Amino acid sequence: MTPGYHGKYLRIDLSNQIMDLPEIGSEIYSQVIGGVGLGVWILSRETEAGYHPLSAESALIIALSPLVGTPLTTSAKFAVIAKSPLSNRICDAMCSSHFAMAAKKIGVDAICIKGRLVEPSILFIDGTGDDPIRFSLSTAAPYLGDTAAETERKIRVESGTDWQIISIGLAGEIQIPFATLSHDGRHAGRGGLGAVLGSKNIKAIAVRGDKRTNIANTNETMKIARSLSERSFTPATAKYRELGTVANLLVFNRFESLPTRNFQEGSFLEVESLTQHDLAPARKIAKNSCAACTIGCEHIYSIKSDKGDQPKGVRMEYESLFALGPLCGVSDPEMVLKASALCDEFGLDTISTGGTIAFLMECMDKKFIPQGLEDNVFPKFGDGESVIRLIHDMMSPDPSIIARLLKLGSRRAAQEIGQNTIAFAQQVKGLEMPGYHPRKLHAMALGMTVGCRGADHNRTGAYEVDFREHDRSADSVALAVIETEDKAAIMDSLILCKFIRGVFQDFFQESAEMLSAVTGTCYTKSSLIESAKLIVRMRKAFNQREGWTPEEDALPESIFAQDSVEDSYLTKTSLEDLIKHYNAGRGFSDEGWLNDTQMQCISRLGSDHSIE
Amino acid sequence: MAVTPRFGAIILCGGQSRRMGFSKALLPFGKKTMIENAIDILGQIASEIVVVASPDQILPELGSIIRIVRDPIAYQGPLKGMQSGLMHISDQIDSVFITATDSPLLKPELIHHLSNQSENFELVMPFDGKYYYPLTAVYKVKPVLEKVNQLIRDDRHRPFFLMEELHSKTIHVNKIKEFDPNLDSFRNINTPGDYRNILQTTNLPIPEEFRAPPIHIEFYGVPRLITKVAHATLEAENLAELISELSRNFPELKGPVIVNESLHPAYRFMRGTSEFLMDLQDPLVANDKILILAVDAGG
Ligand code: SF4
Repeated sequence: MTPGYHGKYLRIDLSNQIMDLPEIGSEIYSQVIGGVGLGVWILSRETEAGYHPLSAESALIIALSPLVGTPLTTSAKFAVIAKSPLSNRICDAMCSSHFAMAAKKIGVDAICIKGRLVEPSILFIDGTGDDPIRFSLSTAAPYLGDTAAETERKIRVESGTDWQIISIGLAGEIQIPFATLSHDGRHAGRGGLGAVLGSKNIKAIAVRGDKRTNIANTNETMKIARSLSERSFTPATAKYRELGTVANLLVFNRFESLPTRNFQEGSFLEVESLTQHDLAPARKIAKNSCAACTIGCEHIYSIKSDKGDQPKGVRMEYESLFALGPLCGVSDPEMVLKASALCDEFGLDTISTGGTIAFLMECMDKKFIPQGLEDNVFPKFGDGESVIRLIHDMMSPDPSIIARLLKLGSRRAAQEIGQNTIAFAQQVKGLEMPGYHPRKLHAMALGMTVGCRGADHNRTGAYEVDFREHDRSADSVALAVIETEDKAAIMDSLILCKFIRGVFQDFFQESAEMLSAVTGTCYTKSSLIESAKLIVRMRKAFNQREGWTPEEDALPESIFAQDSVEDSYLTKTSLEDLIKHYNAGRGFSDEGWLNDTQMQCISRLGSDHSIE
Repeated sequence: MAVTPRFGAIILCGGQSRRMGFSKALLPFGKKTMIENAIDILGQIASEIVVVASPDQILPELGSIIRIVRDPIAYQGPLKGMQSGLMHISDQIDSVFITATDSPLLKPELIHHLSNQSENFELVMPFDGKYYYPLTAVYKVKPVLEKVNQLIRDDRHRPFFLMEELHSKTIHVNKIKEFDPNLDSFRNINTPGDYRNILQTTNLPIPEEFRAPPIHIEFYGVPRLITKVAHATLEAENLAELISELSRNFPELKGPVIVNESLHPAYRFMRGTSEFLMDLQDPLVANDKILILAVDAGG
């Protein structure tokens, strides 16, 4: 077997409670690598066009990578891939830590979960000892309604700490389309992967194993690992180590790119009141990191407890801070921390939660939703209490009308409300926009628009183009955006944490060296760039199969410049021009369809290899 | 330090001061001018001082013991200046220290050290492994004047030709560090930035007309965490000077943010939020807003 890989994935059909271990040929690995690349490949093969993301026909893929289990810093990651119930398009999200290592030790490179159980259950997958890999199910009844963290804790208490667990919270159980899936306080946050697992009646998956993969060239791998670790302590990663991503808040505010009050503005007057998270060590009570990471970007802040007991800690990321703070006009840090902790507890994506609430606030503000009707939960810009009330309300068995709208996400809520409110539902393909106001960040605007996952800041690094000196012609911007997407495709397939990206001199070259050392397969810079392009195309091909149309690659109308604003603002025409150049740069048709050769390449991939 | 008999000094102050835009000899240095400061330093060791100036150059009152010699034609280069100086030094002087007016931190110990080794050499000159310093050097009057005259006759005016001709000894700067640890003696002033820098290291006031434009600098992320301030106003006429002002005012930035008098590659400068500044020599304008931005600002 190719070092770094087990050569197969585990497929579990829950409806029939059977499993098998389809093989994966080395020619597949050399092209799709692992992580997102491998996951998209499996998802495409395991599902039929047009399936409902929350049906028994859906598949949820947990994909590992050749670097998991190696000493390479930040490599303890896994990708979760499924069709998103929020966007009906591809969704791939990263999560990290011990689960990745334990899942790989089962003896497979990916887990594919299909079908559906009748009762909520815990799925145990055991790859220990000489017996073949086996799975078992037990009732989830004692854990229903528990937070993901609590579920993990309980299962490990009851079944043993050698199990590593991913779990969903209440939001996943009731299939809110932006429910997260979590492990050890980290979330595969976007696109509702938690709802997909919930729809299969799985509350948690516990794994353990003892199968290790070989490393082809241990000395070389160790050398690279040492160099990478050393570089991970340099100023290139200082922001993450010292402050975490919350450091973005002030910068974005300065660049008028901090989405405020549902993207009506790009800077927040009260921003300073939230920056105490940024710079006041008093509130910061701890720092944490994923397994096998030398950076440690997680900053934990204290939050006052309601019941007068010990104050709690909450992990704070820029995306949660922006979405539950400025986006909703909320400047009280206590409220933002509380709302964020609440999302974590229920297992809700903070961006989509904040994004949809902000949308509803603007609807209220503009009287698209009649007042009076919802006095008890009336969400109002700046009112942090109402954000918290609404989140609780959404999770209750009998939610108010507003909370029912919130449960849909902003796009479907806008469709329900009508009156062209879709113009300010700040999403692309149904996925709420992350904390980058695209008005002045043209590269990011393009990245979010064409992103297969929807408005996305993870499968693209397009913002990097905006934050560096660059040629502003549409052609150059499009090519630069393509490059950041290609880089992300490799990072997410290797998998390495994107926060280490700053330490690479030549990312593709160094990645090729890394992969070659671990797998013994000869990767080159150009072969990796080819792989990146293939992975991006596979994601797009999946979307095309699931009904993608060119009209989806668009930003909400309200983002665009009205008359008499600054030249630097994005216009609809300039975005369309960027999209045209992007499609050309990717070799797509003018409208953005994959060309025949590209389609054939994808369908040929592994077709000589039986996985039935 | 005692005055050495038969040892003199020549100050070449007739240079053009093009980059400075102001006669270097007349630049204020504390309560004195630069030329007066140079004379004070040299007077501690030289028994005679000759100042070589250009024809119409304005000089302050230097006192009667200083001999002022005017080049017949302005800006003919250092060799011509040396010729005038050496011709006018009195006969009882054997060797001279030759300097310009623009090294205000010159240490008398350095002159002493060079002159102590000059007995068997026509030229004793510092060397830093890369460059020679012929304008911070000790010369034997008679033989050097002869060779200078010959070179000028041959129209070979570069000081390098003279160095080639002379029987010389070089002194490595490492030796000089024993009494001038920061090699301040070699810090000279070519630009207003150099001038301000030297004044600041010696805690002397910068004359109003030489102050650099005020620049508003904004700190975000790690630089802000380190400096504990959100912004500061510093005076600098280009990025290079801004960096040295940042290092001086916020020494804690050295290492994590400023490395080798440059910004660490993990950071860059922006003017406002749209213009990236790449060249350290690009001029800054009064009230510019300069941001120090992490390369990974967006992630
Ligand atoms: S940098 Fe942060 S997110 Fe990335 S691996 Fe380390 S702790 Fe995890």
